Amino acid sequence: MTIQDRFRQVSQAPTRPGHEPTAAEFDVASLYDGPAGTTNPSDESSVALDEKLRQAYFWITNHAIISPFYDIEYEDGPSQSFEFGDSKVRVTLPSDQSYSSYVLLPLLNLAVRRRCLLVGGPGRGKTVIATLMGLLSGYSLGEMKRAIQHGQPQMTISDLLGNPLPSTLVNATSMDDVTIAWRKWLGMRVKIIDEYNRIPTRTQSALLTVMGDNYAEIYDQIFECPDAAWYLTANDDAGGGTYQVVEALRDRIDVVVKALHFNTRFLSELLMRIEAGIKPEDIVPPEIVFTEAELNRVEREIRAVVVPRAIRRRLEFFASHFEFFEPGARQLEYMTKDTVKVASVDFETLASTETGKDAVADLGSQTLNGMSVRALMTSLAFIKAMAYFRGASEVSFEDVRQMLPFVLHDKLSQNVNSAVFRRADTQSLRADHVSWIRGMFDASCREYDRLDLDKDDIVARFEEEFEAGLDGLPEADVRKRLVAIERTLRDWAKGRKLYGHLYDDVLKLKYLHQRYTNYLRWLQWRT
Amino acid sequence: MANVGEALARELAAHRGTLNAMFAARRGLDRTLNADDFYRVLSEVVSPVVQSIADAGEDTNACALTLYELALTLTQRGLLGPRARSPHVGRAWTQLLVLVPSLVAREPRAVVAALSNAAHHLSGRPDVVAQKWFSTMAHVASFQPTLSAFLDAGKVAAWSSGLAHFRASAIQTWENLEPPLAKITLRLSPDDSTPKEVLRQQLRHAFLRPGSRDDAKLECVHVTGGFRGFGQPFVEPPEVFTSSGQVFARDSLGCFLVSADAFGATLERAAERGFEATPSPFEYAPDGTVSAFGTKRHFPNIANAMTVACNRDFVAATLAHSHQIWIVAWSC
Repeated sequence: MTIQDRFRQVSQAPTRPGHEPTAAEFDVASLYDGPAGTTNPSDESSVALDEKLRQAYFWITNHAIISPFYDIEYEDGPSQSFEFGDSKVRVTLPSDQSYSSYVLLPLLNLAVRRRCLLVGGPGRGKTVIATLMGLLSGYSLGEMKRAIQHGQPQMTISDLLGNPLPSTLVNATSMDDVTIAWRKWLGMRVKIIDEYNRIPTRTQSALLTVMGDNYAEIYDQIFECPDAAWYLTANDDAGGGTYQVVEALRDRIDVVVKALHFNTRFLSELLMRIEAGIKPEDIVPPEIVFTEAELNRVEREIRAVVVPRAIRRRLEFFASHFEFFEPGARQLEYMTKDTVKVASVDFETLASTETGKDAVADLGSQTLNGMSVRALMTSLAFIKAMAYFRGASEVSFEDVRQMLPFVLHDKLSQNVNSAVFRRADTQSLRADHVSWIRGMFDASCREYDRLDLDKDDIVARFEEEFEAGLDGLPEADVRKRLVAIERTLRDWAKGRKLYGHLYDDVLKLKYLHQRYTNYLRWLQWRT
Repeated sequence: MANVGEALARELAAHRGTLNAMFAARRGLDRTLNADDFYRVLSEVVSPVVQSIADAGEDTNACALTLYELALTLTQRGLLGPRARSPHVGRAWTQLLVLVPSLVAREPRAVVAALSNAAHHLSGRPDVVAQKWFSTMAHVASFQPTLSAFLDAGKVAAWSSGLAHFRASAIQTWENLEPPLAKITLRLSPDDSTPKEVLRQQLRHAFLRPGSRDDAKLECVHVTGGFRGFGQPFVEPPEVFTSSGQVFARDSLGCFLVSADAFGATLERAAERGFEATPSPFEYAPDGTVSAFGTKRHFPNIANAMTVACNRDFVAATLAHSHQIWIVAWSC
């Protein structure tokens, strides 16, 4: 085998042996699948795309990006682990197929067409992996190179979006007469912005419109962009760089991935590439290149992955910790961190008035903000994508645990003044947000288990009753339910402090109480 | 050993270095790849196809490399050549590809891989299924169809050759076929006068043979299954049962979906599942009498059946001393 052949070698299916594909109807199209390979690239039904996605992943990790890390760990039974040094650094040998976030997250981002920020020092392959995603989408290396937008301090909106054609500009009698020569990258399904934090603020605003709303505008002319996977790179994820990144633009970033260091034990691999003159971008095997139709199908199939109720509840419970901020208002509904932020009041001053709560147990005290709707939606998209990548039709607990840190990396702002970060053993969490968020999720799940919410979730019971519908519900039953809600709130009020999860439950019960009250009034009016 | 034809010889000479390197690379991966075997594949299988392309006035240069590469892959996997496990893949090249030279010249990978894969699938089926499929496809090829029509016709032909489990998706594909191919693939003459709408209605009933004008009656239409020692699926007499409107058969080693229609019966491995009652117009009496739609017929072969399962389309019965499954249906 030549070196080129070795680099083009794609892992043989199944890349996750033992995984049973979901039951499917017999499709006669399978007649044309077999040992002679894929027969018709346009026949999208003939390829198992989760398998293709895994093959793409393994090709990248084995042959393209030297990323011998398995920081997304899955367990299948007990795993061996070892502790090193005084700080007891734990090294776990995962017992199930595990992954490198640096390769996996950009690939999942391609599948769900979101916005991925790659951060890390120079020369760590951030642009290479973004370019590879373009190549996996069927673009040529030349097209991808031309399409990369290199952030630089002199970058203008015209540099980014395009120019009006001078001839039409001279002859135009109205804005409608101006023809814009749009930049080609706007129409591509993979968009790469290199060093986005070097783009001037005004140009960042134009970029924000493209990223957020999927269109570009110059001279009243609109260019509608197709759905695309975005890759932005930065050397510094703290928002530094030549220009401060506008907050709205940072907020549009869905997932943050850190480029890990180069493991010197793999220098021989680099040496071989230099000697053979091989660049992975030049030799992407055609078997792992996705057509537009295939990427559309992947996105559809990911959306169809089921989030079981028990998993959804744990995610709800986790998310509920962060927005609540008791000192932020007098009225229950406004007791949020957002109220304080909007009012530009000093968070610390108000936080210091909070008493009686265990600051370590209260996960909400560790952040300056809550989880936005966008953050929740992005979390669900990536959690589903992770399950799909592993060939599952349902999300598992570990999928949630592994994906949340990357999605919430820039979405949850750390409150460094929290009591949690005053301890010596938590100082590293100020830099390592992945471990911080994963640790908070684990703590949240421990609390969820302590409260036994899988078995004893009274709010869920109220919800189920309500979701069965109000049509034909007799007055006596409505009154019974109202009393039950009131009794529950009374019980909770006895000695229980308000934490984030209880805050959302209280608001939910208030909502249900109001719906029943309105229905009761309507029933009385009808009779 | 026959020599390669003039057209292939020309291409081999033109791409000698590349082709030799390709063979050497594969040989490096698989030491069992035999040069003599592959030469026979080139002369007996690839050469006729390349020659047919040249004879049709098409350019052989573009497709020769693809044909060579695919032939090499299939030889390496034991599907072509003197050591091939089944003759069907070779037949697909020498009997079908030579009939569609223009398609091979323009879309070599799509058409060659599709037919090779289909022939490979048919290798695992009774010979009669493959025979019917090859004869239907040769007939289809004579109409010089487009690539998509040719491949669609192949899908429908697989079903009408006996692969009953493909019925639902094959009928969807059949809807898109032009009239002559729509008839040929249902094993009718292209000149058959039955309108497509009538055929469509007949296809709604699994056991009405399209184009048939006979009256339907209760018949034992298929006997399927058998002992694993003879290459069939069961190690012991299977039990049949219904679940989700379908009939399944199982023994101690596995569960199979029983699919049957006017064209054939198949057993496809399925996930283990439990019994669910299914409404059916059929009734079975222990003396072997089956009744449906006000008619009765006695089937002595299935008297005292060990298990019986009836769904909307058919009755499946098994006996305590047999590994086979009898299928009775209202058919014509």
